[in-house]
Amino acid sequence: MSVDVIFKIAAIGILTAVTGQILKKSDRDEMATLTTLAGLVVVLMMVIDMIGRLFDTIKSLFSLY
Amino acid sequence: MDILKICAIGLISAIFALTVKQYKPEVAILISVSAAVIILFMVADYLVEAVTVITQLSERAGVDDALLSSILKIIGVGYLTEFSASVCEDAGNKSIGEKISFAGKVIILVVALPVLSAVIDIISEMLL
Repeated sequence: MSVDVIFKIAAIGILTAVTGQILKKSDRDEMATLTTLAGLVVVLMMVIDMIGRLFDTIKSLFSLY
Repeated sequence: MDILKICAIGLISAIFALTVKQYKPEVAILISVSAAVIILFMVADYLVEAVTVITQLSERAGVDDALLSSILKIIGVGYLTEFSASVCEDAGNKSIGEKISFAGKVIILVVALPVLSAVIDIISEMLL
């Protein structure tokens, strides 16, 4: 749980935005939407995994079963 | 001190969320959520310390286990609902956030009911 996750997510976000623009310019619009979606899914997976771990620790900490 | 790191992480991720917002608003929200999770993880070990001290004190004071576990449950539910409600409001969905906090209040009420009835039983025994 260190800080580089935030930088990774920001990098992926900017990367998908840039690739989307490039693909749009070379008139491949469907590829652009696909790459943006793929980037979003990757980021979502990372964040959901972190949230799951946080909820597990809180559940075990407060014995919230 | 950990608090310096936490403040730095919060500021940095706020700035990152702002920069990414113009390109990808949904990734900006995910950045703020991940920053919140990281900050909560840094606080988690202090929380574990506090909970263990509370349990030891309550054992020494003779508070029975059901009461203490419901108190901890209430704190946990409050903790989780506040976290997810603020994330939902951050994402612009105020109504979902309010529904989550309302559900949290209902759950806390249900958990607190047995404690209430225990107190009333004790009082009625004293009075009669």
